[in-house]
Amino acid sequence: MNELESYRSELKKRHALTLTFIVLGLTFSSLGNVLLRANVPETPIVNIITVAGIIFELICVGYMGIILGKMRNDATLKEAYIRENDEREAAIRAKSGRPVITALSMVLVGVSLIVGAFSIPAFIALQCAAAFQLITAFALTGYWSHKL
Amino acid sequence: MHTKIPQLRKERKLSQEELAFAVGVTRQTITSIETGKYVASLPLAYKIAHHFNLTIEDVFDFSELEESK
Repeated sequence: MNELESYRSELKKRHALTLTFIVLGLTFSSLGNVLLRANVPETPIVNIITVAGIIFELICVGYMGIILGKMRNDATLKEAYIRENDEREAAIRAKSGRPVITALSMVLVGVSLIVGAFSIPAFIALQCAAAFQLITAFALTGYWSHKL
Repeated sequence: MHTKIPQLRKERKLSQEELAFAVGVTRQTITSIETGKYVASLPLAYKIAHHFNLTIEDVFDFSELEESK
């Protein structure tokens, strides 16, 4: 199997994973907002989680569109493969610490949603920390893109 | 690090985009290598040199490294 074919199967896996997230999100959303509506308490955190869920779903749908766009034909697939495996891009990602920072921010967002059920100030603080980390990673990416 | 990539491209009437596609990197990477902002890895340097049917030393100028010895 050549590199492009393994990249195509990698994209198919990502597509399946994104689809799973969308289905799970829709299932939980239907359960929480329709079937179990009467049992869900009317707290701000519930509204925030609902909005966050909708945003996450929209991001997943957008990401799925991007993946399908990459797999449209061989030319777009090779272009996407080059972009994703470009060594300068990899160096920029590594120097700006983007993969680690993004993962940490996602963990913070997840924790904030749990903590939010008990304390709104803690929820806001964690959300701000996650946002600050992402902004820092974005700024560092810009800096290293200019430097390299 | 100085390179002869711009001259070699010009001689062979090759755009940055075409060279980038041939060696499997983005156009921005070729630009950065040409301007000396980014130093290509050994595999990429080999791919570029191989694309021009030359050796790595023919494409990349190592005189700065020789001087700093």
